[in-house]
Amino acid sequence: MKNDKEGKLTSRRDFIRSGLHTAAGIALGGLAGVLISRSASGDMVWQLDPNICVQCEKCSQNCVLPQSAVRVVHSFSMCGYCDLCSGYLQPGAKSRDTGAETRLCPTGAIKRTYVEEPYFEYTIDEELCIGCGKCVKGCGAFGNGSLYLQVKHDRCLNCNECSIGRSCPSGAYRRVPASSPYILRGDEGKK
Amino acid sequence: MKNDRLLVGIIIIVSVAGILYFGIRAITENSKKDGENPFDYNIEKFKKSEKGLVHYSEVRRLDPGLQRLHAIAVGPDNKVYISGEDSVVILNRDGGPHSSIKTPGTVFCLAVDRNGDLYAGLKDHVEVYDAKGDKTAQWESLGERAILTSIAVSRESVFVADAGNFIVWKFDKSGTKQARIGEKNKAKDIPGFVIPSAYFDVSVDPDGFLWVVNPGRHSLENYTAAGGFRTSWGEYSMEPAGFCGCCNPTHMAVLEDGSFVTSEKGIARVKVYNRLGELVSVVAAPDQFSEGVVGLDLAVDSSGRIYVLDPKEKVVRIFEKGVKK
Repeated sequence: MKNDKEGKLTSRRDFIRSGLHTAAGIALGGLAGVLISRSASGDMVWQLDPNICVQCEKCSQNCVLPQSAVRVVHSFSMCGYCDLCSGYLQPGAKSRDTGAETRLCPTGAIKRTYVEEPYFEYTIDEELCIGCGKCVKGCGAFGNGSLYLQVKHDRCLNCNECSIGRSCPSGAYRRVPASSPYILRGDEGKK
Repeated sequence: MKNDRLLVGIIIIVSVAGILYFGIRAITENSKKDGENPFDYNIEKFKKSEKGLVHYSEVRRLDPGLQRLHAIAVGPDNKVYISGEDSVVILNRDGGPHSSIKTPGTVFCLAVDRNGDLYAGLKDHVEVYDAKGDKTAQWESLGERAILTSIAVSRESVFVADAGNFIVWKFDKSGTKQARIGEKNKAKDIPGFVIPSAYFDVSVDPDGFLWVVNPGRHSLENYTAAGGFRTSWGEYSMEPAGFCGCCNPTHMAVLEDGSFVTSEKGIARVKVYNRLGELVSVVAAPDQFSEGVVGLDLAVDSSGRIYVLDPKEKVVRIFEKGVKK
C-alpha cells in the first residue's frame, strides 16, 4: 500500500516534473521553431548597396553557389538608351554592333535591341550573367549608372554569414528586410 | 632515290620547324593573354594620349566656400559667379569675396548679362537678379518634365537648355517665350537632341549665333537666333580629337576668337577646338582631375583665361595659355 501510495506520490512528482520538462521542451522547441522559421522565411536577407559597390568582381567569385547569386539589374528609368552604350561596347570599339569583338560583357549576357533612331534598349540575360560588374563599371564611368549589381533572392541561399559580404572590400553588403529585399535605383527604387 | 630521301628529309625538317614555331608562338601569346583580366574594365590607356597636346597651365584656384558646386559664369569686370546648394557666390577678379545671393533652391545653371543681370536656372524655371543681388523677376515654370541645365545670353535673347524636354527655349529679356529650338524636324534637317544624362549646354558665340551641345551625337550644333539649323561638328572618339563615351561633351564655352572650350566626363579632360572644330590644344589632361569627377562646368574671361568648375575639389581652377617650365 505504502509502496502503492509512495508509488502514487512518486508518479505525481514525476508527472509534474515530466510536465515541466515537457513544457520547457515545448517552449524551447517553439522558440527554436520561430527562429528557424524566421531564418527560413528570410525576415532579413543579404543585399548589396549599389551606391557603395566598387565592382571589384568578388561577387562573381566568392558566392557559395557555383554561379553567383549576384546579377546585373537594369534601371530602365535611368537608362539613356544610348546607341554608344558604354556598358555594352568595349571602350574604343571600332563599330557599334553586336559583334563579339565589340561587346564588353565577357559572357555576352547583355542583349541590344533597336528601338528607334538613335536609341537602343539593353536587357540582361540572367542565365548568362555572372555578376562580374564589368558593364556596371562601363555604365558608371560614362553613363548614368543604370546598370548595377544586386543579390537575386530567387537564387541566394541567405547564408548566416554571406561569403561574398565577408570579402567585399567596400562593405557594400548588409542585411535588409525580406519584405523589401532589393536596393533599387531610379523610378524602380521609389516607393 | 637519293634525291627522294633528301626531299623527304627537307619536308620533315620544315614540318617540325613549322610545328615548333607556331606551337611556341601560340604558347607565348596565350601566356600574354593570361596576364590580362577579361573582367577588368580598363580605360587607362585612353587617358595617356593627351601628353604633348597640353598648352595651358593651371595658374590659380578659387575656393568659393561651397559644399556642392553646380555652375559657373564670368560676368562684367571678370567677376566669377558660382552656384551652390542654395546660394550664388560672387568673387572678385582677384578671387576675393564680393557678395552672395541667397536663392530659393539649387541653381543648376547661370549666365550673366553685360549689365550685370544674373539669370539663374533652377530645376524648372529662371530667376533674374540685378547687379546688386536683388531678385527682379521669376519666369514661368517650364513644366514638370523640365530640367534646366544651361543658360546663355545674347544682346536680345536668353537661351535656356532644357534636358528634360530635349529643347532649347528662347526668351526675350523680359521672360516672354519666343521659340523652341532644336526639336527634331526632318524637313528642316534638324537632327534633334539626344540627351542621355542631364548634361546639355548652350553658348552664344561672338557673332551672336547659338551653339548647343548634342551630347548623344557627340557634336556641337549651330543655330541662328531664330532656331534655324546652320551647321555642326564633332565626332565620337576615345582619342583626344573626339568626344568619348556615350554622351560628351558635357560642357562648352566660346572664347572671344570664336574657338571652343569643351569638357568631358568619363575621361575627364578639357580641350580647345578652333572655329572649324579642329583640336587645337588640351587645357587639362585626365591626370589633372580626381577619379570620377563629373560636372566640369566652364567659363572664359575677357583675357582668354579658362575657368573650370571642379565639384570634386570644390574649387574653381583657372587655366592660362602657356606651359610652366
